[in-house]
Amino acid sequence: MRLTGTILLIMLVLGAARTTYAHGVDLFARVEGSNLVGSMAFADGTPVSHRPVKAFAPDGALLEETQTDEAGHFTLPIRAKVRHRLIGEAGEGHRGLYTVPEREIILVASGTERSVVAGEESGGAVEEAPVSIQSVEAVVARQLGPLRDQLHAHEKKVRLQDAIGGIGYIFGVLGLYVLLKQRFARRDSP
Amino acid sequence: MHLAEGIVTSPLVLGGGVLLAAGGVAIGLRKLDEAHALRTAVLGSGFFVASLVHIPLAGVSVHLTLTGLLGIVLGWAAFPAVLVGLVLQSVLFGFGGITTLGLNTCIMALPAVAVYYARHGLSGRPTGKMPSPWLSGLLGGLSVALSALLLGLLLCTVGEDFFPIAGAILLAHVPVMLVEAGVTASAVGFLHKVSPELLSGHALEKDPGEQESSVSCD
Repeated sequence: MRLTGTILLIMLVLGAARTTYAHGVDLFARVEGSNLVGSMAFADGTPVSHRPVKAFAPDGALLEETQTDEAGHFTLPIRAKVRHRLIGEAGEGHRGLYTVPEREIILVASGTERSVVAGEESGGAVEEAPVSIQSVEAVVARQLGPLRDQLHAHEKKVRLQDAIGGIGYIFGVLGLYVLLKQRFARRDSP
Repeated sequence: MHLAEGIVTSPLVLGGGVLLAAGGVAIGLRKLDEAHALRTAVLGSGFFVASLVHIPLAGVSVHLTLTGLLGIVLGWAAFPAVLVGLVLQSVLFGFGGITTLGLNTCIMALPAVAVYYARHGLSGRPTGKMPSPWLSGLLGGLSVALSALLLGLLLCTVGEDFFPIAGAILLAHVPVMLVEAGVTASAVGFLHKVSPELLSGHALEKDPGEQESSVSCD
Protein backbone atom coordinates (compact mmCIF):
# COMPACT_ATOMS: atom_id res chain seq x y z
CA MET A 1 0.00 0.00 0.00
CA ARG A 2 2.86 2.31 0.82
CA LEU A 3 4.24 1.48 -2.61
CA THR A 4 1.01 2.44 -4.41
CA GLY A 5 0.89 5.66 -2.42
CA THR A 6 4.44 6.47 -3.39
CA ILE A 7 3.73 5.66 -7.02
CA LEU A 8 0.68 7.91 -6.94
CA LEU A 9 2.64 10.73 -5.41
CA ILE A 10 5.44 10.40 -7.95
CA MET A 11 2.90 10.29 -10.79
CA LEU A 12 1.21 13.44 -9.58
CA VAL A 13 4.47 15.30 -9.04
CA LEU A 14 5.80 14.26 -12.44
CA GLY A 15 2.50 15.16 -14.01
CA ALA A 16 2.46 18.55 -12.35
CA ALA A 17 6.03 19.17 -13.43
CA ARG A 18 5.18 18.64 -17.08
CA THR A 19 1.84 20.38 -16.73
CA THR A 20 1.73 22.92 -19.46
CA TYR A 21 -1.58 22.90 -21.23
CA ALA A 22 -5.27 22.78 -20.49
CA HIS A 23 -7.55 20.62 -22.56
CA GLY A 24 -9.63 23.27 -24.31
CA VAL A 25 -9.53 23.94 -28.03
CA ASP A 26 -7.10 26.53 -29.21
CA LEU A 27 -8.05 28.35 -32.39
CA PHE A 28 -5.78 31.05 -33.77
CA ALA A 29 -5.60 32.93 -37.05
CA ARG A 30 -3.66 35.85 -38.49
CA VAL A 31 -3.73 37.78 -41.71
CA GLU A 32 -1.30 36.74 -44.39
CA GLY A 33 -1.69 38.39 -47.78
CA SER A 34 -5.30 38.19 -48.78
CA ASN A 35 -6.02 35.25 -46.51
CA LEU A 36 -6.57 34.39 -42.88
CA VAL A 37 -4.10 31.68 -42.02
CA GLY A 38 -4.56 29.76 -38.82
CA SER A 39 -4.54 26.54 -36.94
CA MET A 40 -6.74 24.64 -34.52
CA ALA A 41 -5.38 22.31 -31.88
CA PHE A 42 -6.45 20.75 -28.65
CA ALA A 43 -4.63 22.70 -26.02
CA ASP A 44 -2.20 19.85 -25.34
CA GLY A 45 -0.93 20.43 -28.86
CA THR A 46 -2.77 17.64 -30.73
CA PRO A 47 -3.98 19.14 -34.02
CA VAL A 48 -7.70 19.13 -34.70
CA SER A 49 -7.75 17.59 -38.20
CA HIS A 50 -10.50 17.67 -40.81
CA ARG A 51 -12.93 19.79 -38.83
CA PRO A 52 -14.96 22.77 -40.05
CA VAL A 53 -13.88 26.34 -39.35
CA LYS A 54 -16.34 29.14 -40.09
CA ALA A 55 -15.80 32.89 -40.25
CA PHE A 56 -18.68 35.14 -39.28
CA ALA A 57 -19.19 38.87 -39.81
CA PRO A 58 -20.18 41.07 -36.83
CA ASP A 59 -23.83 40.86 -37.96
CA GLY A 60 -23.68 37.07 -37.76
CA ALA A 61 -23.54 36.44 -41.51
CA LEU A 62 -21.38 33.52 -42.60
CA LEU A 63 -18.41 34.92 -44.54
CA GLU A 64 -16.37 31.85 -45.34
CA GLU A 65 -16.14 28.21 -44.40
CA THR A 66 -13.35 25.68 -44.69
CA GLN A 67 -11.90 22.53 -43.12
CA THR A 68 -8.65 22.05 -41.25
CA ASP A 69 -6.06 19.81 -42.87
CA GLU A 70 -4.24 16.88 -41.27
CA ALA A 71 -1.99 19.22 -39.22
CA GLY A 72 -4.92 21.36 -38.09
CA HIS A 73 -4.04 24.28 -40.41
CA PHE A 74 -6.57 26.20 -42.46
CA THR A 75 -6.72 29.14 -44.86
CA LEU A 76 -9.73 31.40 -45.34
CA PRO A 77 -9.90 34.07 -48.05
CA ILE A 78 -10.69 37.59 -46.85
CA ARG A 79 -13.56 39.14 -48.77
CA ALA A 80 -14.57 42.08 -46.59
CA LYS A 81 -12.83 44.48 -44.22
CA VAL A 82 -14.86 43.57 -41.16
CA ARG A 83 -14.17 41.89 -37.85
CA HIS A 84 -13.91 38.13 -38.46
CA ARG A 85 -15.28 35.90 -35.73
CA LEU A 86 -13.96 32.36 -36.20
CA ILE A 87 -15.63 29.28 -34.81
CA GLY A 88 -13.96 25.90 -35.08
CA GLU A 89 -15.98 22.79 -34.25
CA ALA A 90 -13.78 20.10 -32.77
CA GLY A 91 -16.69 17.77 -31.98
CA GLU A 92 -17.95 16.19 -28.76
CA GLY A 93 -18.71 19.51 -27.15
CA HIS A 94 -15.32 21.02 -27.98
CA ARG A 95 -15.25 24.31 -29.81
CA GLY A 96 -12.62 26.94 -30.46
CA LEU A 97 -13.33 30.65 -30.79
CA TYR A 98 -11.10 33.41 -32.09
CA THR A 99 -11.77 36.93 -33.27
CA VAL A 100 -9.61 38.78 -35.77
CA PRO A 101 -10.26 42.50 -35.18
CA GLU A 102 -11.10 44.76 -38.10
CA ARG A 103 -7.86 46.75 -37.82
CA GLU A 104 -5.85 43.60 -38.61
CA ILE A 105 -7.85 42.79 -41.72
CA ILE A 106 -6.18 43.95 -44.92
CA LEU A 107 -7.91 43.79 -48.27
CA VAL A 108 -5.18 43.19 -50.82
CA ALA A 109 -6.26 44.19 -54.31
CA SER A 110 -5.36 41.45 -56.76
CA GLY A 111 -2.20 42.26 -58.67
CA THR A 112 -0.38 44.33 -56.05
CA GLU A 113 1.42 41.34 -54.60
CA ARG A 114 2.64 40.42 -58.03
CA SER A 115 4.02 43.90 -58.64
CA VAL A 116 6.18 43.64 -55.50
CA VAL A 117 7.58 40.30 -56.65
CA ALA A 118 8.32 41.79 -60.04
CA GLY A 119 10.14 44.68 -58.37
CA GLU A 120 12.31 42.30 -56.33
CA GLU A 121 13.22 40.28 -59.38
CA SER A 122 14.38 43.25 -61.36
CA GLY A 123 17.02 43.96 -58.70
CA GLY A 124 18.05 47.61 -58.73
CA ALA A 125 14.77 48.87 -60.09
CA VAL A 126 12.90 48.42 -56.82
CA GLU A 127 12.46 52.11 -56.11
CA GLU A 128 10.66 52.53 -59.40
CA ALA A 129 8.15 49.74 -58.79
CA PRO A 130 4.77 51.02 -57.64
CA VAL A 131 4.43 49.79 -54.05
CA SER A 132 1.08 50.35 -52.45
CA ILE A 133 0.50 50.74 -48.71
CA GLN A 134 -1.56 47.57 -48.79
CA SER A 135 1.22 45.46 -50.22
CA VAL A 136 3.65 46.79 -47.62
CA GLU A 137 1.13 45.89 -44.94
CA ALA A 138 0.79 42.43 -46.43
CA VAL A 139 4.55 41.86 -46.44
CA VAL A 140 4.95 43.13 -42.89
CA ALA A 141 2.09 40.89 -41.76
CA ARG A 142 3.81 37.92 -43.36
CA GLN A 143 7.12 38.76 -41.72
CA LEU A 144 5.51 39.16 -38.32
CA GLY A 145 3.52 35.91 -38.70
CA PRO A 146 5.95 33.55 -36.95
CA LEU A 147 6.33 36.04 -34.11
CA ARG A 148 2.55 36.25 -33.70
CA ASP A 149 2.37 32.44 -33.60
CA GLN A 150 5.07 32.31 -30.95
CA LEU A 151 3.41 34.99 -28.86
CA HIS A 152 0.09 33.19 -29.07
CA ALA A 153 1.63 29.90 -28.01
CA HIS A 154 3.23 31.65 -25.06
CA GLU A 155 -0.05 33.29 -24.05
CA LYS A 156 -1.89 29.98 -24.17
CA LYS A 157 0.53 28.21 -21.91
CA VAL A 158 -0.95 27.33 -18.58
CA ARG A 159 1.50 28.66 -16.11
CA LEU A 160 2.42 26.82 -12.98
CA GLN A 161 1.71 29.90 -10.89
CA ASP A 162 -1.87 29.98 -12.22
CA ALA A 163 -2.40 26.41 -11.09
CA ILE A 164 -0.87 27.12 -7.69
CA GLY A 165 -2.90 30.30 -7.40
CA GLY A 166 -6.05 28.36 -8.21
CA ILE A 167 -5.38 25.94 -5.38
CA GLY A 168 -5.01 28.92 -3.07
CA TYR A 169 -8.36 30.30 -4.24
CA ILE A 170 -10.09 26.99 -3.53
CA PHE A 171 -8.80 26.91 0.04
CA GLY A 172 -9.64 30.57 0.46
CA VAL A 173 -13.20 30.30 -0.84
CA LEU A 174 -14.02 27.23 1.26
CA GLY A 175 -12.33 28.75 4.32
CA LEU A 176 -14.36 31.92 3.89
CA TYR A 177 -17.55 29.90 3.58
CA VAL A 178 -16.85 28.03 6.81
CA LEU A 179 -15.96 31.29 8.57
CA LEU A 180 -19.26 32.89 7.53
CA LYS A 181 -21.20 29.76 8.42
CA GLN A 182 -19.67 29.74 11.89
CA ARG A 183 -20.41 33.41 12.36
CA PHE A 184 -24.06 32.99 11.40
CA ALA A 185 -24.37 29.90 13.59
CA ARG A 186 -23.00 31.89 16.54
CA ARG A 187 -25.41 34.73 15.88
CA ASP A 188 -28.39 32.34 15.74
CA SER A 189 -27.50 30.25 18.78
CA PRO A 190 -27.60 32.63 21.82
CA MET B 1 -15.29 16.46 -20.94
CA HIS B 2 -15.83 20.19 -20.52
CA LEU B 3 -18.73 21.50 -22.56
CA ALA B 4 -17.57 24.64 -24.35
CA GLU B 5 -19.47 27.89 -24.57
CA GLY B 6 -21.98 28.31 -27.39
CA ILE B 7 -22.67 24.67 -28.20
CA VAL B 8 -25.78 24.30 -26.09
CA THR B 9 -27.74 27.52 -26.56
CA SER B 10 -31.21 26.52 -25.40
CA PRO B 11 -32.03 28.65 -22.33
CA LEU B 12 -34.14 25.76 -21.05
CA VAL B 13 -31.22 23.33 -21.01
CA LEU B 14 -28.73 25.91 -19.69
CA GLY B 15 -31.20 27.07 -17.03
CA GLY B 16 -31.99 23.48 -16.09
CA GLY B 17 -28.28 22.84 -15.64
CA VAL B 18 -27.93 25.90 -13.42
CA LEU B 19 -30.92 24.88 -11.28
CA LEU B 20 -29.75 21.28 -10.92
CA ALA B 21 -26.23 22.42 -10.07
CA ALA B 22 -27.55 25.01 -7.60
CA GLY B 23 -29.62 22.31 -5.88
CA GLY B 24 -26.63 20.01 -5.66
CA VAL B 25 -24.37 22.79 -4.36
CA ALA B 26 -27.00 23.76 -1.75
CA ILE B 27 -27.21 20.17 -0.48
CA GLY B 28 -23.43 19.93 -0.53
CA LEU B 29 -22.97 23.18 1.40
CA ARG B 30 -25.44 22.10 4.09
CA LYS B 31 -23.21 19.11 4.77
CA LEU B 32 -20.06 21.17 4.73
CA ASP B 33 -18.80 22.40 8.08
CA GLU B 34 -15.37 23.26 9.43
CA ALA B 35 -14.53 19.60 9.91
CA HIS B 36 -15.06 18.84 6.24
CA ALA B 37 -13.98 22.08 4.65
CA LEU B 38 -10.34 21.07 4.61
CA ARG B 39 -10.88 17.73 2.92
CA THR B 40 -13.25 19.37 0.45
CA ALA B 41 -10.61 21.97 -0.33
CA VAL B 42 -7.91 19.33 -0.75
CA LEU B 43 -10.02 17.18 -3.07
CA GLY B 44 -11.38 20.24 -4.86
CA SER B 45 -7.80 21.29 -5.53
CA GLY B 46 -7.09 17.76 -6.73
CA PHE B 47 -10.00 18.04 -9.16
CA PHE B 48 -8.84 21.48 -10.31
CA VAL B 49 -5.27 20.36 -10.94
CA ALA B 50 -6.09 16.87 -12.26
CA SER B 51 -7.48 18.19 -15.51
CA LEU B 52 -4.20 19.99 -16.14
CA VAL B 53 -2.16 16.85 -15.71
CA HIS B 54 -1.91 15.20 -19.09
CA ILE B 55 -0.91 11.61 -19.32
CA PRO B 56 0.17 10.38 -22.74
CA LEU B 57 -1.39 6.98 -23.27
CA ALA B 58 -1.44 4.91 -26.45
CA GLY B 59 -0.88 7.91 -28.68
CA VAL B 60 -3.52 10.13 -27.13
CA SER B 61 -3.14 12.47 -24.24
CA VAL B 62 -5.76 12.16 -21.52
CA HIS B 63 -6.43 14.09 -18.39
CA LEU B 64 -7.96 12.92 -15.16
CA THR B 65 -11.03 14.22 -13.36
CA LEU B 66 -10.80 12.40 -10.00
CA THR B 67 -14.60 12.64 -9.69
CA GLY B 68 -14.76 9.04 -8.47
CA LEU B 69 -12.46 9.87 -5.58
CA LEU B 70 -14.46 13.03 -4.89
CA GLY B 71 -17.63 10.95 -4.65
CA ILE B 72 -16.05 8.34 -2.39
CA VAL B 73 -14.66 10.84 0.11
CA LEU B 74 -17.01 13.83 -0.19
CA GLY B 75 -20.43 12.61 -1.29
CA TRP B 76 -22.68 15.60 -1.90
CA ALA B 77 -19.89 18.00 -0.94
CA ALA B 78 -18.41 17.10 -4.34
CA PHE B 79 -20.85 19.63 -5.85
CA PRO B 80 -19.34 22.77 -4.28
CA ALA B 81 -15.82 21.36 -4.79
CA VAL B 82 -16.47 20.77 -8.49
CA LEU B 83 -18.17 24.15 -8.93
CA VAL B 84 -15.24 26.09 -7.46
CA GLY B 85 -12.77 24.04 -9.49
CA LEU B 86 -14.69 24.64 -12.72
CA VAL B 87 -15.03 28.38 -12.11
CA LEU B 88 -11.26 28.64 -11.72
CA GLN B 89 -10.53 26.39 -14.71
CA SER B 90 -12.79 28.53 -16.82
CA VAL B 91 -11.42 31.86 -15.61
CA LEU B 92 -7.73 30.94 -15.52
CA PHE B 93 -7.45 28.51 -18.40
CA GLY B 94 -10.45 29.07 -20.64
CA PHE B 95 -11.71 25.58 -19.96
CA GLY B 96 -15.47 25.11 -20.49
CA GLY B 97 -17.30 28.41 -20.09
CA ILE B 98 -19.29 30.60 -17.77
CA THR B 99 -22.73 29.99 -19.33
CA THR B 100 -22.11 26.24 -19.32
CA LEU B 101 -20.91 26.23 -15.72
CA GLY B 102 -24.17 24.73 -14.46
CA LEU B 103 -24.16 21.95 -17.04
CA ASN B 104 -20.47 21.19 -16.53
CA THR B 105 -20.96 21.05 -12.77
CA CYS B 106 -23.72 18.47 -13.29
CA ILE B 107 -21.62 16.48 -15.78
CA MET B 108 -18.78 16.17 -13.25
CA ALA B 109 -20.54 16.18 -9.88
CA LEU B 110 -23.58 13.97 -10.54
CA PRO B 111 -21.36 10.93 -11.22
CA ALA B 112 -19.50 11.70 -7.99
CA VAL B 113 -22.78 11.67 -6.06
CA ALA B 114 -23.80 8.50 -7.92
CA VAL B 115 -20.54 6.90 -6.76
CA TYR B 116 -21.39 7.90 -3.19
CA TYR B 117 -24.79 6.19 -3.41
CA ALA B 118 -23.28 3.18 -5.15
CA ARG B 119 -21.10 2.79 -2.06
CA HIS B 120 -23.68 3.36 0.63
CA GLY B 121 -26.92 2.20 -0.93
CA LEU B 122 -29.88 4.37 -1.80
CA SER B 123 -30.44 5.49 1.78
CA GLY B 124 -27.06 7.24 1.55
CA ARG B 125 -26.27 6.26 5.13
CA PRO B 126 -22.63 5.40 5.51
CA THR B 127 -22.24 1.72 6.25
CA GLY B 128 -18.87 2.37 7.85
CA LYS B 129 -17.35 -0.23 5.58
CA MET B 130 -14.08 0.70 3.96
CA PRO B 131 -14.16 0.53 0.20
CA SER B 132 -11.52 -1.79 -1.17
CA PRO B 133 -9.08 -0.26 -3.62
CA TRP B 134 -10.46 -2.56 -6.32
CA LEU B 135 -14.03 -1.40 -5.83
CA SER B 136 -12.87 2.21 -5.69
CA GLY B 137 -10.99 1.80 -8.95
CA LEU B 138 -14.13 0.40 -10.56
CA LEU B 139 -16.19 3.31 -9.22
CA GLY B 140 -13.55 5.78 -10.43
CA GLY B 141 -13.73 4.36 -13.95
CA LEU B 142 -17.53 4.29 -13.82
CA SER B 143 -17.73 7.95 -12.85
CA VAL B 144 -15.87 8.88 -16.05
CA ALA B 145 -18.24 6.69 -18.08
CA LEU B 146 -21.24 8.39 -16.43
CA SER B 147 -19.83 11.84 -17.19
CA ALA B 148 -19.35 10.79 -20.82
CA LEU B 149 -22.96 9.56 -20.99
CA LEU B 150 -24.28 12.80 -19.47
CA LEU B 151 -22.30 14.80 -22.02
CA GLY B 152 -23.72 12.60 -24.80
CA LEU B 153 -27.21 13.20 -23.44
CA LEU B 154 -26.64 16.96 -23.49
CA LEU B 155 -25.32 16.91 -27.04
CA CYS B 156 -28.57 15.12 -27.97
CA THR B 157 -30.42 18.33 -27.19
CA VAL B 158 -28.49 20.09 -29.94
CA GLY B 159 -29.39 17.60 -32.62
CA GLU B 160 -26.79 14.87 -32.24
CA ASP B 161 -28.03 11.28 -32.20
CA PHE B 162 -27.51 9.80 -28.77
CA PHE B 163 -25.98 6.42 -29.58
CA PRO B 164 -23.31 7.50 -32.09
CA ILE B 165 -22.20 10.53 -30.09
CA ALA B 166 -22.32 8.84 -26.68
CA GLY B 167 -20.49 5.86 -28.19
CA ALA B 168 -17.79 8.12 -29.64
CA ILE B 169 -17.32 9.98 -26.36
CA LEU B 170 -17.23 6.75 -24.34
CA LEU B 171 -14.70 5.23 -26.72
CA ALA B 172 -12.51 8.34 -26.55
CA HIS B 173 -12.58 8.13 -22.76
CA VAL B 174 -11.65 4.47 -22.35
CA PRO B 175 -8.01 5.39 -21.64
CA VAL B 176 -9.17 8.02 -19.13
CA MET B 177 -11.35 5.42 -17.40
CA LEU B 178 -8.41 3.05 -17.09
CA VAL B 179 -6.03 5.68 -15.73
CA GLU B 180 -8.73 7.11 -13.50
CA ALA B 181 -9.47 3.64 -12.12
CA GLY B 182 -5.78 3.09 -11.41
CA VAL B 183 -5.31 6.45 -9.74
CA THR B 184 -8.50 6.14 -7.67
CA ALA B 185 -7.50 2.66 -6.53
CA SER B 186 -4.02 3.80 -5.50
CA ALA B 187 -5.37 6.91 -3.80
CA VAL B 188 -7.87 4.87 -1.79
CA GLY B 189 -5.14 2.36 -0.98
CA PHE B 190 -3.02 5.23 0.26
CA LEU B 191 -5.87 6.67 2.34
CA HIS B 192 -6.48 3.23 3.89
CA LYS B 193 -2.98 3.47 5.20
CA VAL B 194 -2.70 7.06 6.30
CA SER B 195 -6.18 8.36 6.96
CA PRO B 196 -8.90 5.67 7.01
CA GLU B 197 -11.46 7.98 8.64
CA LEU B 198 -11.74 9.82 5.32
CA LEU B 199 -13.07 6.67 3.71
CA SER B 200 -15.60 5.44 6.26
CA GLY B 201 -18.02 8.23 5.37
CA HIS B 202 -19.08 8.47 9.02
CA ALA B 203 -17.61 11.86 9.62
CA LEU B 204 -19.70 13.24 6.79
CA GLU B 205 -22.89 12.12 8.41
CA LYS B 206 -24.34 14.70 10.74
CA ASP B 207 -28.03 14.02 10.54
CA PRO B 208 -29.00 10.76 8.89
CA GLY B 209 -32.53 12.05 8.33
CA GLU B 210 -31.19 14.63 5.95
CA GLN B 211 -30.03 12.03 3.54
CA GLU B 212 -33.48 10.54 2.98
CA SER B 213 -34.29 13.01 0.23
CA SER B 214 -32.20 11.21 -2.32
CA VAL B 215 -32.07 13.11 -5.57
CA SER B 216 -31.72 11.13 -8.74
CA CYS B 217 -29.90 12.52 -11.70
CA ASP B 218 -31.84 13.65 -14.74
